[in-house]
Formats: sequence, structure tokens, C-alpha cells
Amino acid sequence: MRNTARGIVGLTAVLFFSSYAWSQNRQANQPIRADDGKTLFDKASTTGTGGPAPRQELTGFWVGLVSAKLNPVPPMTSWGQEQFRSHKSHSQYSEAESNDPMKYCDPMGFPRDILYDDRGFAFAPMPGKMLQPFQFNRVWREIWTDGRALPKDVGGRSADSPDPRWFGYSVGHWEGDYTFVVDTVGVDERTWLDAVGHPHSIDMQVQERYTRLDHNTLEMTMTIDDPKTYTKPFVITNARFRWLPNQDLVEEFCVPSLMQEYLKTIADPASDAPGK
Amino acid sequence: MKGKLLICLAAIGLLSGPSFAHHGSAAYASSVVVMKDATVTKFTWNNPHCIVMFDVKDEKGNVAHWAAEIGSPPAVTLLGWNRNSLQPGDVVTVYMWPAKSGRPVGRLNRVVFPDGKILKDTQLGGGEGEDKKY
Repeated sequence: MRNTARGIVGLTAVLFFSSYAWSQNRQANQPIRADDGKTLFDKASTTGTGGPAPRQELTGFWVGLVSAKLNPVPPMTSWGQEQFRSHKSHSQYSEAESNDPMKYCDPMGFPRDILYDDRGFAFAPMPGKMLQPFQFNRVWREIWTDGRALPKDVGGRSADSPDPRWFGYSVGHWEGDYTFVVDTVGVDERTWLDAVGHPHSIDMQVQERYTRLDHNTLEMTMTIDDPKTYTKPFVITNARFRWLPNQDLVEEFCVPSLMQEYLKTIADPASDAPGK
Repeated sequence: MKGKLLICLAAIGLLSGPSFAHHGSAAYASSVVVMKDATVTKFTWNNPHCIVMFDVKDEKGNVAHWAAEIGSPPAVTLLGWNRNSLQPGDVVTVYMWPAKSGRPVGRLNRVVFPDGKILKDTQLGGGEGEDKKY
């Protein structure tokens, strides 16, 4: 009986594996739902408006979907397509074959830190800047608000060209009392935009517009302009965030040693990686 | 079919392949296998994914050592898991997507305890109505 059962498994597996379109899973995170069908975002969405939005004030922790829902990207340039082909995402390749930077616990950087894992972030003002700490890996980004201009020629050939950065260079300002606008340049090309592996160039310019609708609701629109990679500018997401009621984010790190243990125990055998 | 290792395919043709948060589904089968009388040997509560290790015996007493991943601690916490959800020696029924490689690893779908309690992995609730497929 056991052999019969195994035979059925094997035959069926062959049929399924040969026909299943794994590329259909080429998508970003799924929202994580609790037993009652509620995500943390859902739960934070039951708290009402909390009253009117305070003026020019974003301080505190915000929770989003696990991943923002992303709009389709416009056609890529030939350079963009070449980069995209070189990005082997988890959704299309096995863990052993993938070269997703997350596999190595490399920085997700910007904007992936917002687009891919937005279980939570905060805004924390400091003199002359706004910090944006993220739940995942407890990393942070700085957004200058002192009126300085964005650097030019990041990653260029001249001696005084600034270095590319995982999170780029960001400046922010208020438009009216409820919309905080952030412009970013100079993001290191090693970062991916999303889990699918969409690329960007050092020339990418990103604008985020955070509008506080009421005390508990924050909306963000992100626009990407990267003519070296995409044939036209595009809005990659319109995301909504909610005020986290207890303001207490769980700790979540990508730990290199634990990642290695995971790869050795699960991912490499699953993909039958050579040498494992 | 009274062997302790009972493998069956659940809802052939109805199941979609798993889709996961941080790590891919490309290595896993698109149909779920069921393993009864699985004895938990270890449960790790770590990023990037928690891991359930368990043994399953066949009729002759041969033991297979399996390891199945679930979501990250923050993810599965929302589904009722905690770091003490499984203890070595617990005997449960495991539903999982096995690796295409044929190695004894997989992506866990859910664990059913003798009292009927169920702990689901994250991808079960990933899409609208996905539970109804079982």
C-alpha cells in the first residue's frame, strides 16, 4: 500500500510539476491574516478616525499591509530589462538559485523597505530632519527638512560625487498642514524595488507624498521616475497606513547566522542545491 | 491504509501552489500531502522562518526525519502560533507541500492536534476564500 501511495504521489507530482506555472506566483507578499481573518492592519483599522489630523505632525508608529499593493511597472528600457533578467527573485527561483539580496540579509534599502515589508514604520522628528525607523531589521532612514537641496551626481565620476546609499538621500517638506512630501535620489543600484526584483538605476528619483487624513489614517503615494530603467514615470503604489494603537512594534531581524541555518535545513535541500 | 505513514493528495487539481512572504514557492509541489502521527522533534522560533522538525514512521517502523518551514514569528503569531506551540514528543497530523527535490523537507500548510486544534501557516490565509479549498 505504501508503494502504491508513493506511486500515486510521484505520478501526480510529475503531472503537476510539468504543467504548473510557477511564474504565476511572481508577486509580492501576501497579507498575513490571523485566525479571525484580520491582519494587524485590519485590527488597526477598527479604531476609527481618532479625531482630526494634527497639523504637520506624523510622529509615531504606523502599520501597513505586510506588503504594499503595487501597480504594474511601465515597459522597461533595454537596460532595465537586462537588470531585471539578472534579478532572480524568490517567487520564480528556488532559494538556492535566487539572488535576492534578502537571502544574504543585505539591506533592502529604499524604497523596498516600504514597499515590501511595511508591517510598521515610524516618523520621528529630530532637529533639521525626520527619521523614518522601520520595524524590519530596526533600520532607519533620514529625511532632511532643513531646506537643503538634494545632492547632484550621486555615484558620478568626479571626485566630489557623493557615494550611492542603500537608502539614498532624502529631503522633505510640508505642503499645507497635512501632506509631507519626500524626494529621494542616489539609491544604490544593488537594491531591488520589490520582491519580484524590479530594478532601478542610480538616476532614479522617488517622490513620496504622505497625507494624514485623520489622527489614525495616513495615505502615501509613491512615484518613481527613472528614465534609464522605465520608459515613463509611474505611481508604484497608493498605500494606506494606520496608527498602531499600542505603538509597540514586534522585533524582526534578518539574522545572517539564522538565515544560514534556514538555508541549510530547508531551502537548500528543498532545491537540492549542489553540495548540500 | 492503516500505516502510520499515510500520504494522500488533498483536493487534487483544486489547490493552488503556495505563495510565501519572504521566500519562494518554486521549490515546492503544488499539492498537499498529509502525514499522520508525526512526532515533533524540534520547533525553532526564528527568522526568516520557523521550522517544524518531525519524525514519521512507516508500517515497518522505518523513521523518516522531516523539516517543514512556516512563516516568520511575527507572521505566524497573528495566526495563533507562539514559540511554545509545538513541543518535542507532540504527535500531530501535518499537512504540507513537499519539496520537488524529493528531500524530506517542505512548506507546512497546517498542523492538526489530536484534540482537533489547528494551527495554520500564513499562506493558508493569503487569498480570499483560500480556506474553502480544503
